Amino acid sequence: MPFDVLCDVRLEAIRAYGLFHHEPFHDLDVSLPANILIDRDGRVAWMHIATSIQDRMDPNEVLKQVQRLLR
Amino acid sequence: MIDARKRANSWAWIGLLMSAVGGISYYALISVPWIRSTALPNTILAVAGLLFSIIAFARKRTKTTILAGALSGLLSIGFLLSVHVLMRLPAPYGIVAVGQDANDFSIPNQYGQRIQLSSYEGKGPVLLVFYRGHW
Repeated sequence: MPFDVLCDVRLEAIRAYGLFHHEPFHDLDVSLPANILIDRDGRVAWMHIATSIQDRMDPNEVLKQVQRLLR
Repeated sequence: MIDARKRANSWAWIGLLMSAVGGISYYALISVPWIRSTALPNTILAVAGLLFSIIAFARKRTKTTILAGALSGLLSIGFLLSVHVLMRLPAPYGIVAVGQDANDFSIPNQYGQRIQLSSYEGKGPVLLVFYRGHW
């Protein structure tokens, strides 16, 4: 696989990025769906955090943002 | 009188059709990203359908305007509630912002190796994708 799939069991990264969400319907701790792009200098270059369950970035939009940083 | 009844009934049917199409088309077109995220045309249709039904009911109380109106109301309000209220997520905690240093973490990947975010600094951009799932 060309990318890492991280298991954030202790919700470490999820909390570090303010994405913790206790889902009341299933009584579960999950993450808010989000894309966070970090540049070579370790700074947040772009991000999108979902405002609803069905809110997801178009992958092409995400790729466009990534291409910007690869130039 | 008869014309008014017919017109009211027509509006009731149109309202029901709009509400039904608005709601159902959302789920039929959910694979289109902008529709899934915004539900804009579906919302417009559902609201229009609701309005037509209310106006029809207000104009003339017939079996059609009552029954079709009730069904239209149920469908449109049900759809609008589920997409714009029930599915809403709370705002994030505002911990991270564009331009700020990204918070570091160390988490195991699918092979059990510890991945430190800061180890990528200088090497290239990193895209973090948080997806909705549970432990």
